[in-house]
Amino acid sequence: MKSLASFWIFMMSMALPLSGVSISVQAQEAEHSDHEHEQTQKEKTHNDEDSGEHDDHSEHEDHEEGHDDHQDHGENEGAHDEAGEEAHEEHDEHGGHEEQSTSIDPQTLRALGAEVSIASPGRVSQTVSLPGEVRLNKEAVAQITPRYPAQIVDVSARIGDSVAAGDTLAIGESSQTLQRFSLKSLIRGTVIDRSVTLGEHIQPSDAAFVVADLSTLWVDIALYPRQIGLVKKGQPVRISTTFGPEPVNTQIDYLDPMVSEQLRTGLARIYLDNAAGQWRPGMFIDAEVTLTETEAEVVVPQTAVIKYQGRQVVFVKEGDSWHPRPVVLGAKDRGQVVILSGVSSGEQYVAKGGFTLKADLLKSEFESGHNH
Amino acid sequence: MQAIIRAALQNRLLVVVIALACVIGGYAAYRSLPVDAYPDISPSLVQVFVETEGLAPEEVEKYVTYPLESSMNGLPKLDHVRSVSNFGLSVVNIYFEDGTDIYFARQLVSERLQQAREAIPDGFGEPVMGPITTGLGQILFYVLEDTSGEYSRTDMREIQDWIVKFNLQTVKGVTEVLSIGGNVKQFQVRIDPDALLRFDISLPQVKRRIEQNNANAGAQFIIQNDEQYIVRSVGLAEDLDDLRNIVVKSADGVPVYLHQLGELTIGGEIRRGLTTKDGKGEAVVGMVLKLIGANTSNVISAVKDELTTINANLPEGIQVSPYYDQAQLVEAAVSTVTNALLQGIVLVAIILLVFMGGWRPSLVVALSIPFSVCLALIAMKWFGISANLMSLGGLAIAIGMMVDGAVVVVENIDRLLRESSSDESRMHIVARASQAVARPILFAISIIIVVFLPLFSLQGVEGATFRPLAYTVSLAMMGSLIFALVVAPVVASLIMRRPKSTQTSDEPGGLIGLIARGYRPLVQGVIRNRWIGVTIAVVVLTIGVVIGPRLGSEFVPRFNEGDLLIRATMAPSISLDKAKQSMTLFERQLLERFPEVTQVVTRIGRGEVGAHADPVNSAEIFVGLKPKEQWKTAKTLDGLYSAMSAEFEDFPGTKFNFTQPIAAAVDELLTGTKAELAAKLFGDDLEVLDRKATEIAEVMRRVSGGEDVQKDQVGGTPQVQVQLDRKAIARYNLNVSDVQETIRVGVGGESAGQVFEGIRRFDIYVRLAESSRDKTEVIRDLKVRNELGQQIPLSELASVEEVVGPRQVTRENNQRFITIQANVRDRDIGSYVAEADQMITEQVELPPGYFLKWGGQFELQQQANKRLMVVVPITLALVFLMLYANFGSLRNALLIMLNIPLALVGGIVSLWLAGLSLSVPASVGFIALFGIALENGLVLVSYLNELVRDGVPMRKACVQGAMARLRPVIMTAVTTGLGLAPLLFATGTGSEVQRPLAAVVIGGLVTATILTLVILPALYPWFADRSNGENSTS
Repeated sequence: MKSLASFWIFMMSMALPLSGVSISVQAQEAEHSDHEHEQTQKEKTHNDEDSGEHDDHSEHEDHEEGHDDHQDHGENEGAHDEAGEEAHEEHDEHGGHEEQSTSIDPQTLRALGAEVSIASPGRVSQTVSLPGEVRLNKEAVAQITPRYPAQIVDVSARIGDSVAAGDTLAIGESSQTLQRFSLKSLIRGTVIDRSVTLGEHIQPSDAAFVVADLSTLWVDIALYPRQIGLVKKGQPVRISTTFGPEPVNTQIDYLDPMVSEQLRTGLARIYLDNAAGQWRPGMFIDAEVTLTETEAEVVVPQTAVIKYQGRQVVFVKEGDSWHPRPVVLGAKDRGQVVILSGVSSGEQYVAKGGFTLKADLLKSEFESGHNH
Repeated sequence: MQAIIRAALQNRLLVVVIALACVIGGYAAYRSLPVDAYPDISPSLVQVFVETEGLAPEEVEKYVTYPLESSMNGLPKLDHVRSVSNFGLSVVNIYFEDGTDIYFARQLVSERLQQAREAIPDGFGEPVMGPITTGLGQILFYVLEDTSGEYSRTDMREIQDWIVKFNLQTVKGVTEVLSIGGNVKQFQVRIDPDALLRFDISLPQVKRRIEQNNANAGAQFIIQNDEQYIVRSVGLAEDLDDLRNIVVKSADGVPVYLHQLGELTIGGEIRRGLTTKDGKGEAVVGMVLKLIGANTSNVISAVKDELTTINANLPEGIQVSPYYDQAQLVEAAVSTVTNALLQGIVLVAIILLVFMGGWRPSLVVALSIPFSVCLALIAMKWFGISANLMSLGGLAIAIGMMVDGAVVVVENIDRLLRESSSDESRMHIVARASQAVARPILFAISIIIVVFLPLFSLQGVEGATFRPLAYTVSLAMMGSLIFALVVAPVVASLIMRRPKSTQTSDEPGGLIGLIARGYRPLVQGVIRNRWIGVTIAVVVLTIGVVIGPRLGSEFVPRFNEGDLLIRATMAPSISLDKAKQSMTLFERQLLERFPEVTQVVTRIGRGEVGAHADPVNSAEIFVGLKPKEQWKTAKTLDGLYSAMSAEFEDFPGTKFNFTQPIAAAVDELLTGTKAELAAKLFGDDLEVLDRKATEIAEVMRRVSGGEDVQKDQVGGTPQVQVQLDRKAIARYNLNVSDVQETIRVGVGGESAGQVFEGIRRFDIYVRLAESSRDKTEVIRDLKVRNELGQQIPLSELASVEEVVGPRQVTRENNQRFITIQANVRDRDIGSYVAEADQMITEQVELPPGYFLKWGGQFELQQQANKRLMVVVPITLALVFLMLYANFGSLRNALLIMLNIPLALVGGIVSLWLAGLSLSVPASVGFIALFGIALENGLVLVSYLNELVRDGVPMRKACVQGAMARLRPVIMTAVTTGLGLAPLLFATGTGSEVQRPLAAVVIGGLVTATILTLVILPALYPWFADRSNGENSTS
């Protein structure tokens, strides 16, 4: 445009040898921009007053009011104010932490997938999910071995048989005395291994049968170095498996004081009740260990916490508008998080979809949003 | 010249035949000219795209953009290279000098791409050149509709990619069809991380196993019983079941199948864009791009024919329907100008009939229009100028001027026929009359052509826009010159008759007589009191000086395409799903609140790479409208714009920009900033750049006159950054690459070969199940397997942090930069830049290697100004020289130049009256005006000279000359003016671009003609060549 204007001026001055007057084509926005300028000026002073007062809450309030005033003012002013507003927000970026707010009607907010809740106390449990394996309860396994080297003359138990303590599993004939004796189960349980066949010679060191009591099992959980210090005896655990029995809630029963030399992992163990027999050794499970449980005044879903201008904020309703409140976060679990400060119980906040509000606040900066 | 006329008259038949041939040739040329709506203002640009799946902007820049850019260094005719490294996409724009042949440029780039390919690491994407098209190339968009509701988004996209697109690409003139929306079919293997633990296998191993179990092989041939058998091993997976049953591992003879590790499904590719329609959710859309130079209308109709055929063959319930095409626009634009052209011709013919008195001379003159137009069309064909709003507009402008030469010739013939003795042969009279005016005509028309020279020096957008106009005007004027000097005498000798009743009075009858009766006392009065003349001239000039500054200024008036396109910009970090939700809501509200809207199609982000590189946060919304008569909200498109703009001002988190499809596409290509002033800070470190740019913006805001100062938003993209702990990795006996491969495949996913269904091919994509990779927390839990079989969680090996990273990295000429834009108010940009620059030097300390460059529109303006500063004086000097050559008198030449300022004033006043702004078309109008004004003066002064030379006393000569030249001067003025009138009053598509031009010429003609007729004779005695006059009187 300017090129045109000056091209013009030039042409005219070339063409007006008689007049000797040079014409300047002024930008027509002159008066408009004056107005804008004033506005910007005003914002600047406004901001300067506020800098460095954020820690003080009462000051903070005042300042917000001032801001609201400005907003109303802005709406009445209409088109002119827009530029002022923009300059204003831009200033914020550099000046730091002035609060902004946005008002979007609840209906639109809902239509954009946002959810509003009221801040309330709650409980947050910090958990960690660890892989584990169901094993035999080694304390409830009996190896049935012959007293003497012997030849097996009769086998009565089969793998899978449930046996009581004292039940005869097989009969052996001593190789030295040729006397027959019974191999009896030492415990009540299930025959899970049988390594003898009829006529076989076995030594006292050979296990003829393995009988295991499957009514309790072990769940061994591998602990990575980071978690070794966190998992403690007595912590609640929820055990689940992809294809198998319903999840079970139990607790950590044992922590191995040693760390595996090869794998550098620690071990936590659960004594799993398996009276119903649905858990089987060798099953792969997921153990969700609750490390800590915290009760707090304000607990919000993690979706409520939005990163805005490098800070964690929650959008809280004040009057008719939503304010991004910086918050200090406490413990969190899979879905929830404790708010230590920033939101008080009973306040309305955006539990989900706060991004819409953030986007609305950032709207003035979108201009350069395009790729080029 | 005399010889030419004589030769023409001697070979009358030949001349007539050649003239007829020209007309027929012109018509043929018109039929075969490429037709566009608008001249193509796209720069000579070759775009190179590289898609690098999943790579962050910094990595894209490092591995892809940089090698690409540096390989382009030193190309001939290279102007500059600019690049944007975005998430997953590198776009390198290679700009060549204006007017470089695009195929030549592409060839150069393609040669260098070979080098670049080697420099880009394997697996980081292949550079591809953008389609051979321009900003105007997006000629037709269509949407696939499923009325049955039976097809999934994946099915729809498959139909689009393999049926619709496939067939459309074969249409001649189509260079590319780009798909967007729906889901690109993919065989997805979603691995459950627990399964990996359970079966003790790693993700990269799974990927390799899939690749190893999906191939065909050839094994030459064997000969059995003298027959040759080709050996072919068939091992390609053909469907999901084949994939499911791939054995990944076997333990103790028990095979572990792929399906045990997770879920295998058919799903959609990761996408960076989608389309929605009418607030009802997603749709599948195709974009047809035209090859450079193809005839838009023809290609569109061919595409539409093909679509009809395709529609007939699509599965039941699916239909393809275009929702935007340029055909109507092209048609409307061309018909606006052709209508104006035809109306102009009719008006001019009527004028001729009225002023010439008699159909024979009128016919001779009128014939110059088809002849000149046809000659111009042939030349357009020859030079490859497409028929469009501007080039045809040039012809429309020239209509009135085309007849000027012929008017003068015929008028002279007519006069001589009337005056000469009856024994002189008609042929001889014609020859004498033509020869008498040949010289002034040659000069006058040459001056008009010369005056258009500055237009040829315009560069960039203005140049591309108005050069076609300058070409056609010049060509048509040359045609009219040939007609006037060669054809007109011949035709006149054939059809003009001696008037039956010879009028003795030199005052002709009819309308002209009426005017003449009023004119005589006026001119006599002014000549007697010359000061009156001078006063009038000064008053008129003063009016101009007063009104001039009141005119607004704009660049080129917005060309109304008749289609509505809304550009939406959302938060830079927005996800595709959220963007979809917002846009769907917007579509619904738009349909609800504006009853004139029939259809809304929104494109979010980008689809197949080629036409644009929009990020996910930007959307383009095509709005289909009812016919104008049924509108309720507003009556005009502008009214509708502002109503919509007001309605959606407060739409949460989204900014809307109302524009038009072609304008938007062109903006895309004309990169760079739209603000007047752009300070570019170059340097290496993005953080330093950002910080320093903030400081500079602060300073620029403080310098008075700086408005709307805005720094580029380069940051703001949230990242999950995995910072590897080398010691920990070494402790676990791993390599960095092992960890990264797990992250890449697990979180990002990777292709593990393809499944073929006939010629259709679909990727096999291996990735972790969604729940195992969708949060920062779970990414920390990713397991990396080492050789010992340990599965180590990522958090042991690296710190996983959420940080904010750059959104994009922009580079120009191999260097990173960041832009600070500003507009300057109430002072000139030059002084603002000087002051700001000094203050920045004083107050902002730039580290070594960092420097600031000023540019923007401001830069272009300076360049344009510089060029015009040279070209305009040269043009005026040239005109002056020509005048001097013609008259052999400095004074005469000066007197004629005096017409220019007087004409100027009329143009300014009429712009002001019409409420138009000073714009490029208006400037073009002024240029045309100069030519016409000079021509008028030339005709008059040369006649006055002739009279004085013949010994007529000065004062009498003035009156007599003015009276005698009244008819031709008024005629040329009126024909030119009325020839343009249709453009002034036209309301069709594109008329807004021509209107200021027409207003300027018509207004200027009014003042110029009046002043030529009144003031010129009055001032003549002062400027007359004394020696000449005295000699003749003595």
